[in-house]
Amino acid sequence: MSASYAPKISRRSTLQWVAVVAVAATLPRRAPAASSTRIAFSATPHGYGTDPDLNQAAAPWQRIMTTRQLRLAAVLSDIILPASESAPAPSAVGIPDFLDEWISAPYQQQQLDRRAILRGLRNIDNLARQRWQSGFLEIDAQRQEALTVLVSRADESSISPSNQSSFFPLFRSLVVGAYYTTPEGFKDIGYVGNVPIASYPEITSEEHAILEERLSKLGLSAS
Amino acid sequence: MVEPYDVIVVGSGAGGGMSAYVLTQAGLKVLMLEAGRDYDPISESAMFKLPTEAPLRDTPTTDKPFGFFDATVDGGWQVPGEPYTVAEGSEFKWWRTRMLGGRTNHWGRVALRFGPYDFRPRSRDGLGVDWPIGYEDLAPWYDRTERLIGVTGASHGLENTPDSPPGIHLPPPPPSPSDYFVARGFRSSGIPVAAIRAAILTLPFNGRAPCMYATPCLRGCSLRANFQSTTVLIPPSRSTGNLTIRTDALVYEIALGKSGRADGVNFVDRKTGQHHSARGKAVVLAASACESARILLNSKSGAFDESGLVGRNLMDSVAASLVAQFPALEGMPPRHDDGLGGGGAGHLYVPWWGYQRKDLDFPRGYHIEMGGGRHMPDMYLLPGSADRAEHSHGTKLREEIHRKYGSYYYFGSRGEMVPNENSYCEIDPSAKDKWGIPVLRFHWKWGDYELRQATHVRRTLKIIIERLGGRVVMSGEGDALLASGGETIHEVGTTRMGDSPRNSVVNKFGQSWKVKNLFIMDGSIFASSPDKNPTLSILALSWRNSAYLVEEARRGNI
Repeated sequence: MSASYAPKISRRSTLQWVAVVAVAATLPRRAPAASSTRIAFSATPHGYGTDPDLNQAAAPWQRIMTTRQLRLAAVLSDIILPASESAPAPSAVGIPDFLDEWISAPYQQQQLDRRAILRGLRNIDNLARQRWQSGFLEIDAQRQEALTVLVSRADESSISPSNQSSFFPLFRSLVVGAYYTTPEGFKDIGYVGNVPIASYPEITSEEHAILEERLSKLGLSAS
Repeated sequence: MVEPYDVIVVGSGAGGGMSAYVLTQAGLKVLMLEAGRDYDPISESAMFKLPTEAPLRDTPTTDKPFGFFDATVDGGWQVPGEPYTVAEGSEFKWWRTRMLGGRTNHWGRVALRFGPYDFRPRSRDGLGVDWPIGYEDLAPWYDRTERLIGVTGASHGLENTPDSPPGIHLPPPPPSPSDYFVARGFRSSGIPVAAIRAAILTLPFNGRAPCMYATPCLRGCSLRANFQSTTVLIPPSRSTGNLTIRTDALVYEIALGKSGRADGVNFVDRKTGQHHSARGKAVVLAASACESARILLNSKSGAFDESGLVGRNLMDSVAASLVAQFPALEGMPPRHDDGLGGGGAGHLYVPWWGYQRKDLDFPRGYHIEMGGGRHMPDMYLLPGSADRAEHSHGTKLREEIHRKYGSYYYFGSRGEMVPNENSYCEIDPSAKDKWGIPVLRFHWKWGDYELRQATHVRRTLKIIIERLGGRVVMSGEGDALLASGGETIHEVGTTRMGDSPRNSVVNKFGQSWKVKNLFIMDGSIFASSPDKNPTLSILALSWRNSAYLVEEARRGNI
């Protein structure tokens, strides 16, 4: 069960790491193009560098999430995309570990996300304690889902088009992105590419009929 | 090989790669100096790798701005240890690579010919300058270039959008279902849609295999199915036995001899930090529009140029883009839809249609590149915060994602910028790179023409999107009206060609007016920045001008 999600790497010492990432954590979501004098650049410390071996890919940075944070992420991920008859739940394909990789990364965007994600996980755990005197992991599945809906409504209503750092939409977008970039996600969504084919297939008669019917409804018939 | 070489070619991308190809085939001994490391797409391209095989699912970072698997080496918007500066109040981004083949390892492969009007902009609207050559001068070289590299296309007969002569273009791929749908929106508004012209093979061609319609071109192609200098130009140049390549050689100066000719170049070895010289009877500068300007400005620039125009007239394409979601494209049957080039780029594009319109408040024009469909999901499967999912979670969210997958479509303009006096590069008075070489400082301001053009793009796209029942879910430029200067990676104009040393840096063959054995073969010589993406024209000009250099060498004039 996702509440007992077991992280795929061992826990790590984070203090040294936090000191590194805290410096840049207040930078804006979309970094403005250089607007004044000097731009100095070196590869991001603890990043994978500007010329990594593409065949030996591994994220070199240490991960920062605690086991409880990973389990909170697992429960929430599985509420967002529960397993279906044919597709596994996010926790079954390592999504919480990927979220850990993501928010632990030394890059600007991921550091911004880190703040929002960790704050949101703490917040939902605290909300459970306030209501039911038990943490989010310890309440039953019905209450977990009810609280998730509450948080999602509050967060969705607070976001503006240029500010997506509100917890729930961000968390959901990371879960959905992470899930559907796995082979299991490809299968679930019906992505059948990334294999060589001799030629790009012509539109089928079935596709043609669907498109023409829909174009016709839009007043855009072929004739 | 004993120096002097017949020709030193600085740069190995479109301009330098083509020049070396032409010169070595003609029997000249060439030294190619490339600032970046050696690079072999055959062994290094991360083809078919899955997002789960990359850190962060291949999402862009500052270390790899187009994602982990992008071919770019040691580059992007910043190169470690090699800064540039941007003047107060300006916004400019400069894309560089440090690899053999340069930026040809990283481009969209859209290969459009300039049209007759594009060489006569001042004659048509009184702005900027005309080119010293016309379409008829370059057309045979476009033919040759396309016969060598392979470019898709179809004959449409559209104004100022030249078709290739019969037998030259490769058959275009059929439109995808989403291309087919979107095309109706344009055509029903009287806007033409054309087959994409891409430097990607759709048939076996010159010993190279065709596209497999999978795995993105930007990762490089070990099949050599697309155009990269490293797979199409450099191997045959090497096999002549006339080409010597030195990588990690960052050229910073043209060495001027006593007779007023170029003796060669000075460069720093990026691995050792040692400074070296190389001597040649002629020098071809093709380091990219801005890097070539930097080299000239760091040389005794007065000796090369009387016009004072080196670094001036810097231009980039005007770009504005939108992503839309179309309910009518929801729930289409699954299909292998990676498409030509494997990255979800469309098989159609919209050439500029407004040449005869009198109601526009901007000169020149733009084309629209586009694409969508059921391509490989990435971390932005639900693009745009405005497109909040209808369902917060659960089975209904999963169903919604299934339904909407493949219903998003991207539209991006590439438009012509009119050169202006506020957009240029110069040597920064104090900043230097890690070897102590003075760096570029950029000044940039879009003119009113470009702002109005971008407004027109957005207005037009919204009309088309609404006609098709869709809605805009995000802008590619965030809150901005158009992309930053340099962001479209189409910099041109900094050593422009012309018919007089008073108004140009080089003549109609890319030859320095003053230093007769110095030629410039990259986008810096463009006199204007037509909406058509520059790479094909850089290749064609480099071939033409290198052929002239060969003739001059044979005549003993170099």
